[in-house]
Amino acid sequence: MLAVERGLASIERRAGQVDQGVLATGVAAIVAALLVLLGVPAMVTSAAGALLGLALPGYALVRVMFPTGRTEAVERIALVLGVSISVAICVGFLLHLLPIGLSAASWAVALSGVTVAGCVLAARRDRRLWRPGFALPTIPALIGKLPASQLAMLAAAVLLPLVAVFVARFGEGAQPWSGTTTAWLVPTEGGSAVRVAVVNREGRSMTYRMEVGVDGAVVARFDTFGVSSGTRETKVGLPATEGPREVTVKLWRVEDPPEAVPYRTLSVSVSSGGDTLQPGENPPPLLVPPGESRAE
Amino acid sequence: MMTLPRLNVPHVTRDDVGTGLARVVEGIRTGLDGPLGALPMVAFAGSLGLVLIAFADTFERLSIVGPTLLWWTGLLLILCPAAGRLLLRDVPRTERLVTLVVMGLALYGVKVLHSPSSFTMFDELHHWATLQDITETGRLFTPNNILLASPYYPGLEVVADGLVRAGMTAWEAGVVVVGAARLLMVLVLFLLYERASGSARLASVATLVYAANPSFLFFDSQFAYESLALPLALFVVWLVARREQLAQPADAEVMGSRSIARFGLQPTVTSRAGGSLAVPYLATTSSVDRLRRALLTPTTALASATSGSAGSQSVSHVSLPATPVASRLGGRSNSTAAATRTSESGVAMTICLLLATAAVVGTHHITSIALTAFLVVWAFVGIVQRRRGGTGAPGVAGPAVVALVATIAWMLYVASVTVGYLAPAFAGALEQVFNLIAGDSGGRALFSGAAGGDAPVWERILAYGSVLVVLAALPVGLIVLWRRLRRDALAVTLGLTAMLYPVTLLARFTEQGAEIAARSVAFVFIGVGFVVAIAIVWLVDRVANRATAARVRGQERSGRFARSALGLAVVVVLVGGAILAVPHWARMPGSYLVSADPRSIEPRGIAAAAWAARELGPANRFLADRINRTLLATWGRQHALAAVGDQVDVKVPFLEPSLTPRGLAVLRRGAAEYVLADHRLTTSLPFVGTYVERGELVENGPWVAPLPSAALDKWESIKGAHRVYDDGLIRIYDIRELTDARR
Repeated sequence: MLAVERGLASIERRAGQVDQGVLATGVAAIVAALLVLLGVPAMVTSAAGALLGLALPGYALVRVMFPTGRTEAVERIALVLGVSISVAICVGFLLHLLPIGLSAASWAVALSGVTVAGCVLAARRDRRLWRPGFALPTIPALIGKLPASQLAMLAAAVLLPLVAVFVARFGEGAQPWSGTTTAWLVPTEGGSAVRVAVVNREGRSMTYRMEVGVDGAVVARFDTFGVSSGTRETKVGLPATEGPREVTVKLWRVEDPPEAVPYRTLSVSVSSGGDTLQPGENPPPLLVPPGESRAE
Repeated sequence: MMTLPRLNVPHVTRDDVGTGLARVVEGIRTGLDGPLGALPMVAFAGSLGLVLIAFADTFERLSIVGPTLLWWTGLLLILCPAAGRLLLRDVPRTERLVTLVVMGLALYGVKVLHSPSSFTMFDELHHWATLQDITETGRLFTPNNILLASPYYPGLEVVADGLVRAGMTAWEAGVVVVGAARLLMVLVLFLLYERASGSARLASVATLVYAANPSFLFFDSQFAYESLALPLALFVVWLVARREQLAQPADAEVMGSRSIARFGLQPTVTSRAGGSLAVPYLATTSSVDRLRRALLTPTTALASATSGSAGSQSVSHVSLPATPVASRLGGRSNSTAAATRTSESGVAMTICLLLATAAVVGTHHITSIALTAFLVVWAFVGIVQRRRGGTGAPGVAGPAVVALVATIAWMLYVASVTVGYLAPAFAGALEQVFNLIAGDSGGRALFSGAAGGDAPVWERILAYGSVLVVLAALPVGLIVLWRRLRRDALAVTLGLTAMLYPVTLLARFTEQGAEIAARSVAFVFIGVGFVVAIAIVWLVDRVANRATAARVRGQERSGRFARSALGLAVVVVLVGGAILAVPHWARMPGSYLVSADPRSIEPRGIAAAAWAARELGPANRFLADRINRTLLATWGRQHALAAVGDQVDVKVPFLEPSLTPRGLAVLRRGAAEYVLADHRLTTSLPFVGTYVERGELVENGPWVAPLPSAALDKWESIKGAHRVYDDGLIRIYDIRELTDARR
């Protein structure tokens, strides 16, 4: 018990000698790595990842390499950024050479490892040389000295870019695009059927009619079906024949006259045999039920 | 007769207007009185500028009138207050630096607002493909056929991959990494220029002028390797300069003190404490020691500086605050400890230097070549200076050799593909420049869009004006540099770099040289910014000195006209840079344009590419135009055939009106499985000059009519080509039967 108490006291004493910035950096690196590894909400892990990738390793290494405070604040910021990015690139190359490769875990362990190692070395130097680490600017104290007009302008300067991003994203979402209907056709695995889909991006509800033919003969007809928006898809079985078959799909808008050129025409060559339908057999009555259409 | 109701308008007198204006002026003055000076105002103006630009982008998207005026107003709000403040003499160093950071990030914001949720720039999509490869495989160096060099210089994608794996989207990771790079760039540029000139004021103006280079606004803000490599390269150069400083005797620790004395401009190095010293305004070389003593012993500065005149020149005293380093050095007593610390810092700088050099070499080919060239020239200048009895730059040769060996080794053993990728472009450009000089070929028309959309006249005038201002300032700056800074190897190297600017202008008149000139401007402007800033500061101070001298003689001479002219010239350079940054049709997002890079990236093309990924699976071999090729490679994760990347002449089967045996042979050699035909291509000339690849221009010259419909319609009648996707304009054909490429 006495040994434990003595150990705790020793840790407490040693911790007291470590610069708070170094201690905080080491702890932050470990916490950030844990957050990334645990996969907590993306917003949290993103922030942790940005710290781990762009700030913490550089801070720790700069504290190790420049312990005497001979660099000024601006130089230190540049060093922290530059070293962090350089370390991230070099660590990435190193991970590529290792069997584990680049993954969330390898990144988190490697970068937090570099940071913690840097912090330990910095703490050891701190104890040996013992002088205070470099202080961060006292922003709250500075804010207290600002006149109201400057404070208001600074607050607006921080908020307005967020407004700008909101406006830009609104514009991007509201940009008008010419509406269209997309149709596509792909054979299924094994070639026993084809999948046909109609995607309505016209900006309004549409009603279509469609024919599916094999080697010129209609095997499926869909007289009227509506698509409010999104995709309607169906699978049409193919008659079993030998050799490649040419499957064609013709799609009309319901308002088009019967003899009109199809609105969309598709075709595909299916080489392996199908067995689900025989020539003349009734095709499925309609595409998938409306509830199964998926939004694009 | 009907009488109009009388409006009750309050009577406003001239006095009222005067009072109102006085209040506004007083308000601005009060705003400047705070501890942050004009910084809040500059930051507010910059943010407001971003909002205006966001509205301009939105108006352009929604086809509402007035976006151009809004966009330029927004940009001027970002640039002008910052420029005005930086040109002033009595602005503290910290305020200058933060003003530059605010301006630099705001200019980066202009690009972010252009594409606020996904990558839309052409090069960005290429690098996104490489990032996707890394994220999917967990390995580097997966070949990327649409940009061969990218996987072998994956520094940017490596950093972004770390953030993507932490939970960010690729776009978010790109914005954060390039944003951090932009911050690094502004800080390091300032520190580098300050080291070379010894003046925070000159350094801030030089960084401002650098921001006027056409690559700064968009090209070096996009998710592409140069955007990260260039800041890292500048970081290396600054580390070398800083290490050089540490290697010098202890008193040389005072940043740029020799340069301050030689240069003789107003030094405005400011301490954190805000303490200031008085030094001769027009110091000469003979005052070096006095100036050093002044910097090292703040309390005696005034007496020291004023006790002797600087030669026969008139002396006016201005404020030079003490550097924190100087203060510390002044108080240091143990010289051995100082030497040890200098040595430790030197070793630390060397470690940082090696790390950063490795990062640059693994991030971008051109930047690593440019970095190596800069260091070699710097070392060479140092050798020449040492032979002439100067101190030179003895510590530069080592980093130069390291950079040279690393760059060559990387190119030979890792990225050997780069040589074949870069060499033809450089050779072609050089040949065309020589032909132009010899009069064997005509020049390329500037400012004329390939699709006929010429830039507005006022833009052309300002763009030419900006180039002329830079060209006029260069000799002035170079002369002043030679007179005052020629003993500083770094300053001389920056001057030599600036002298390349006219050569890049010449290359702009050639087809192949234009792109290289556009790419090189970001490097050449590192020198141009410095030299032009020397000219600007020298002229501003000269005007001010003359006005002061005239006042002393009792004459009326405000120098207002000259100051206004100089201010206007700076604005012209800044605005001209923004005009030259991108063609006017690409400046804002908007409706679809044919082969117009960011303006061609829209939901329809993305939907087709996404369909290919979903329904066909990855890595099918596609033939497509240049825009859909990038969409297929990124959104679609397909293998879209490219001339350089796949060594097949993709333009032949794509552009010919009917499929010839040659075209079929190309398709078969490329094992093409699908063709994407975008019928919008037939509606206009290509805005960037080509539909498929650059070879079109080399073989056939510029397009004079839109792509014939037959080129895209031919797939309808070709046996073995099946239309499997159709949205009315974009059609995808399965041609596996035709090319025997069935899996």
